[in-house]
Amino acid sequence: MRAHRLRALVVYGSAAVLLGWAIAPLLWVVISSVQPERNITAQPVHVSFADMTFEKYRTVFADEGFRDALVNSVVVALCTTAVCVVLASLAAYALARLRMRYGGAALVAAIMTRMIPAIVVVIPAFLLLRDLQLIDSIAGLVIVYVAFLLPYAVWMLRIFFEDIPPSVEAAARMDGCTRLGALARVIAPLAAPGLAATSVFVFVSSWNEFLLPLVLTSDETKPITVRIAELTGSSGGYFDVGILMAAAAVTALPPMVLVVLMSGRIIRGLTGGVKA
Amino acid sequence: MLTAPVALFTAIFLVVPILYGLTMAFRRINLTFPDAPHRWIGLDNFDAAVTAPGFGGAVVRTVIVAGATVVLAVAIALASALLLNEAFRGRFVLRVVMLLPWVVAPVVTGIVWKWIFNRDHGVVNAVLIQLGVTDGYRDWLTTPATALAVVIVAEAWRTAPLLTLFLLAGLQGIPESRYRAAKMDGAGWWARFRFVTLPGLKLSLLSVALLQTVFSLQAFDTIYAITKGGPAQSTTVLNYLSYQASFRDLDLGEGAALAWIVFLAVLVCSAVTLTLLVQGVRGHRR
Repeated sequence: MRAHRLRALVVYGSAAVLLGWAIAPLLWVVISSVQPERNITAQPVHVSFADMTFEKYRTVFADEGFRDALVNSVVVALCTTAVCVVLASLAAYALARLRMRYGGAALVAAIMTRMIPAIVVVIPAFLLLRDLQLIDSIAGLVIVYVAFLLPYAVWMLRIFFEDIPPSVEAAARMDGCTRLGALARVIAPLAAPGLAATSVFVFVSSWNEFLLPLVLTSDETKPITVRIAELTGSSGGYFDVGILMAAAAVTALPPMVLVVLMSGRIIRGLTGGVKA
Repeated sequence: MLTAPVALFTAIFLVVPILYGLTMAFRRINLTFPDAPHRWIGLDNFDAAVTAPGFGGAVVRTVIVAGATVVLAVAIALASALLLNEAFRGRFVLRVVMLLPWVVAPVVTGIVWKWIFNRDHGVVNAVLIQLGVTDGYRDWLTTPATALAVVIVAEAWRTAPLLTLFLLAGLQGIPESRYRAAKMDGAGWWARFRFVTLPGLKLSLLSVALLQTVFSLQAFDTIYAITKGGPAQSTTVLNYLSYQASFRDLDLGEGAALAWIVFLAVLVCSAVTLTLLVQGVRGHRR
């Protein structure tokens, strides 16, 4: 009995520590964003529920640059996800079903591309886009993002496609479906959770991109990550940190929401299967 | 075939730029002389990059950051994975919540931790003063050593969740029968950890350590957000040095050379990981 209680103490105690470690910084961002400036900059810092205010968020959203950046982030992420997942499905299907001579090597190469530091790609990408006159354009950014994320998307989707028994497909093809038709009508619906998880992964990855858009965009299409970095730099001396925290919360929220919704599947895709 | 569009797309927009980036490292491309032709200069860029005064320091700092984040992140991840492997109420919720640091944009992570370690209003100083540990407000970000520490903590916080997932998968791969056998032999929990868990995790731990090393070599956004390489270059790791060469000094050739040095380091680490993994798989098949 005592060992049982001791174990419970250790386990739940550690769980609390882990929870705190993961969440506390994020909670602090939220708290800092709803407190008036005088509270946050008091020494020692003073937090009061009664003083809670959303004025920082109002200021953030009143800023046209920020609103535009937010729209840019959304548009770029959505387009990237759409293009990337469609293309990746084709390749993932081929790798999962058809025995390809270079399939193994292709997969290894796919993983290796993820290891490339963005800095290696950034300037050549800049020069390439400049020649195509796609600098500071949504299309240009989407192209580069898709190229960067395709290998990983293919890797993830392949795992989900492999789960689907070939017999289902065979049945569809016996009924007269073409391979592509079978893919669209039979496999895609079955793989929907996997597709959704991969889509979330691609969306979040493009939402969080920083170095690529820092170089490849200017005032027209800069996303929210670049904009928020600008907000930190602009202060020479003092600056209302509550506004910065509000911006940070807005920037961090969509990926968190999406991942929470999809967590189980994403974990599976990333690690090739973690039980329960 | 079906893979043609993907292969083509990737080839044009990823492989070609990368290869072009490689050639850039061998040419003289300096934007302060925009009209100069891009002459092929062989290894001159690499030579200039390696002998530049900032290079040695950057290498040292890269090694320190990589080493420290590996130790910190893997420790956190191992503890988390061990915990999440136990059955308890709320375990699945915790597993989702502990993922969140990985999901936040690295840039935002930098901003958050910069604020936490802020000298006058940061939480860390506030807590330390309340606990009576220090008297004065410590300026974490203008002291070279502590600025590096802040970067390390922020990075470890960010990447540990992913490592936790891999270690958790590794833990679940250890057969229950081994634990039972150990218990039957009278092994307590510490002995079971030493003789069943750790050996079973050897491969996972190695992979995760190397993976974290790769992450550290690629770290950029957090450094940009927290210190921009400062104070006085003290958080400029190799990757960031490449950025400075290209965008501050406008010497694209040298920037490319530095970027490729980083890439080579990453390739070496990846190759080592893959070799170990393949060997591990073969070993288990015996």
